[in-house]
Amino acid sequence: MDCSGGVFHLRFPSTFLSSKKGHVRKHLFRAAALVGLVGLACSDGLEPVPFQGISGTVSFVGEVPDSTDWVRLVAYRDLPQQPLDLLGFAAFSDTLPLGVQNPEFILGLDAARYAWLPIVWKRQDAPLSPEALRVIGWYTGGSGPFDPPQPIEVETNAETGDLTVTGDFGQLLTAEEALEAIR
Amino acid sequence: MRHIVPFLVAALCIPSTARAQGTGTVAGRVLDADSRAPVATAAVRVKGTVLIAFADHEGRFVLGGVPAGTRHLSLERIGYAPGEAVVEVESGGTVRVEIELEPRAVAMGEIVAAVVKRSSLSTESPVSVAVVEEEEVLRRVSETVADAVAYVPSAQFVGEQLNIRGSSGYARGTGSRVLLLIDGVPANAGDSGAINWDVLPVIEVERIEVVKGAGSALYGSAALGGVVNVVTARPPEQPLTKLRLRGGFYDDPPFPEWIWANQTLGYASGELTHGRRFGDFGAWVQAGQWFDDGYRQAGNLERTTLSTQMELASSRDTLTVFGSWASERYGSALLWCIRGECRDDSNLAYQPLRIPTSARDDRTRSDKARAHLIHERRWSESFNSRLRFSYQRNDWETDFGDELLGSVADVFGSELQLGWQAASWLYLIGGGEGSYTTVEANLFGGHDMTGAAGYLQAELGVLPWLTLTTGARYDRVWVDGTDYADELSPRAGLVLRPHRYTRIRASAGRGFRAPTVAELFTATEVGGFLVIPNDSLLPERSITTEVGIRQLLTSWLSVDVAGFHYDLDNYIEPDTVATPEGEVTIRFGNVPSASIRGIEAIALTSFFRDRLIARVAYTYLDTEEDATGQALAYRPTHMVTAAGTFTLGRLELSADYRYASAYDRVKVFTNPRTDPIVPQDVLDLRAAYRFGEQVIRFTVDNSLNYAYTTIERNLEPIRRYTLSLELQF
Repeated sequence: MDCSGGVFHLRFPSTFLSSKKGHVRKHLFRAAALVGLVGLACSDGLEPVPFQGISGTVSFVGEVPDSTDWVRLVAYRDLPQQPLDLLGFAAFSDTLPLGVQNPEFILGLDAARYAWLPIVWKRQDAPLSPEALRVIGWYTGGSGPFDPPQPIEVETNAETGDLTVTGDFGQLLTAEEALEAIR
Repeated sequence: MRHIVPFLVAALCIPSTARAQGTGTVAGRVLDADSRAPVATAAVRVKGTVLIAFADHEGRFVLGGVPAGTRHLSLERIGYAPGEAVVEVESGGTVRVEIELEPRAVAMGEIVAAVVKRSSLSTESPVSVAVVEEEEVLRRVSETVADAVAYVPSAQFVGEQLNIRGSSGYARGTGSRVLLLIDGVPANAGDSGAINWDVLPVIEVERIEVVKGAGSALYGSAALGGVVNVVTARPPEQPLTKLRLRGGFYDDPPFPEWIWANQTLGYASGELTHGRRFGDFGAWVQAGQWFDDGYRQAGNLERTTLSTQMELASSRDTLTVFGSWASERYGSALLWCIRGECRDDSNLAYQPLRIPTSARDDRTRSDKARAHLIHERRWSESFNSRLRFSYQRNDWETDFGDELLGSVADVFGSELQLGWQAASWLYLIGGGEGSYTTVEANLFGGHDMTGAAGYLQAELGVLPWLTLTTGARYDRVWVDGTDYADELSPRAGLVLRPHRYTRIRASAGRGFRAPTVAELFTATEVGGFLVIPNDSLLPERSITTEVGIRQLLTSWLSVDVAGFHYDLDNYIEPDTVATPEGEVTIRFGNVPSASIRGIEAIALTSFFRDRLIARVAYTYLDTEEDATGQALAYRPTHMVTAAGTFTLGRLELSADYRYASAYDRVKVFTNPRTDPIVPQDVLDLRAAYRFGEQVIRFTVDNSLNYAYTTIERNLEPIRRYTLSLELQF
């Protein structure tokens, strides 16, 4: 609610100034209570927030392995230099649907530059650890899943859309292999 | 210590002197000073003793065992100025008296039964207690008991979970730290411990008592953070049929980008009750039906309720049988949709009235049944007993499309309570309680829980201006036949009456709560996270202290201020943990220690000869997890409630305002773009017009159409307009 827009108007009775002392006190008391309540009623509630992040399509290549648990798109602000840096991701998408050849993706992100957007595959029946994860491609600006990574810029209150990322189930790169490929 | 000794000497000497005098009986009638109508439920107390009686529907009362001599009676009832009378009691005799009470909106206290397991005055309670009278329930056009409790100072709903002074937090209703009683009989669900607010017909609620602070010393587990006791109406003296019809619609959302339906969304309900008496036997029967389109996608609801109460009363015995059944079907909209989860999201970060496309067909069926039988017997003027048996079933099932989750929980309970006015200065309450719960669920498995408890409490009117209350309860809990926990919960309190219009209260007590079957054994998947059981979960404990004062300042202003402190040990909260294999999971765990402290201030005032009655309350909360220094999740720092009613002849205008500051912390979704945390700021407006006994009401709930949440990704109801008709014949 926008209180600066004059939604509330306090109207004092015409007798306010001319009334006797006791009545003035009563009126003041009530006015103070009203002002207090109006003040509290000035909270900012929820309002529409434009989406900020990236969206686009993933293009899967090859047969989905039977051992697949899930596949997600992950965003990194900087290119990882060593396996430990892989834990420093900015955000990851929901699980991508595997029964579709070209599923759409969407990922909310802070306004910033993102250096690497890999597609990460996880093996079934394995705990969530680097050993169970593989990289099957990343955003390159073109169709090659393992070409040099292309950075993207997310601007405030804006959606960077129409990105296409290719994921190749025939090439499941380990963390070390993926780091080697983006150097 | 040297101050305590003479105090104790006085306490021991004065009562024995009084007891040596012999006793008599005071019988009388309480009348309205203006209309000469009987004043039912007025409390009549013999000053300087713990003797108390309550006027019946004819305004009549009988006080037995009154010490002989000149005795001062004090009378109190909400809506009337306190009254006094002096009587001369002869040993073995009966003195008759007629007392008039002056109507007045701002008075000292109301009758409550939940604080000490017998009817007493809220002003004589060592802990804070609030009472919601029937008229308030009707004025707010409440659909469920929850709608009426939401306006109680320091009470706040987080989702569907009631927090009293920040006690509960949020875990989808699981592990409530507030105990719901129906006429003193526990009614929390057997599997999750949640409160099902729809199990009671609002149309037959006489009053709702909200006890703030640990009630474990009398009620055991689940009463760690407070007690809500719903007192149902007794069968009427004359045949009475009540019909309540209600209908309305939701306004457009505050922003056009959020509109999701191309039609008006409405709701309607009807409740019918009929009650009458045949000599000593009386009964009422209720039936109700609700339809609601809901204000958000998949928010529709259908509810049917049936309930009855039967009473067989003689001069010494009262047998009460209560039964209720409620069946609901509703959409299981758990979370709003964020960009990409639903169609037509208008490229917004979140759509608060839409839900993810994949969840649109998720539905829940929930059936609840309960019954209790209470036999009360007055063995003599000073000794009474209360025996009860109860049964409750909660049966629910949620269809998530690819998965069906459900649970059936049965709770059998029994209690024998004895009350003894051992002397004019001493009232003893003791009893034993047992419960047996069985749960069969595909997300908890099959389990049983058995509880046994004994309690004793003494109320000592040691001096005319001082009442002490002390007692303890011992609880033992078995899970699947294995000894799980045993707890002693002592409590002590005092009420000082330094002046006729002043009450000072202080209390300290220990509370405990055994984890529910859901907290111990839940194994499922929620939002992609695995929820794992934790059978090493420990019971949680608290030490609650409170000091408060209630002061009637003038004939038009009373204030009540209280400071409170909870020390919590092994506090049970859902948390994320990594398994030894490194997988991130959710389970219920113990937070080693945490504290909640705060201040509550309430002012009640009236103007223009009680035509305008207003109440303003403020609560300050300071919570902290000792290990991390962080605030406890889902607790606001500031809460304000204000209510005002203006009556002009047949017309009544009223408003309710609720404010709670934004939480410092939530548990699950913390992205400020998709899960913003905002204050709660709600103003409800109401008007009523009376035609004799018939009333027509018009209400605008959330009149500012303020958009807010109490838990992540769940928008609270937007503005709605309701027309209600209450007919009696």
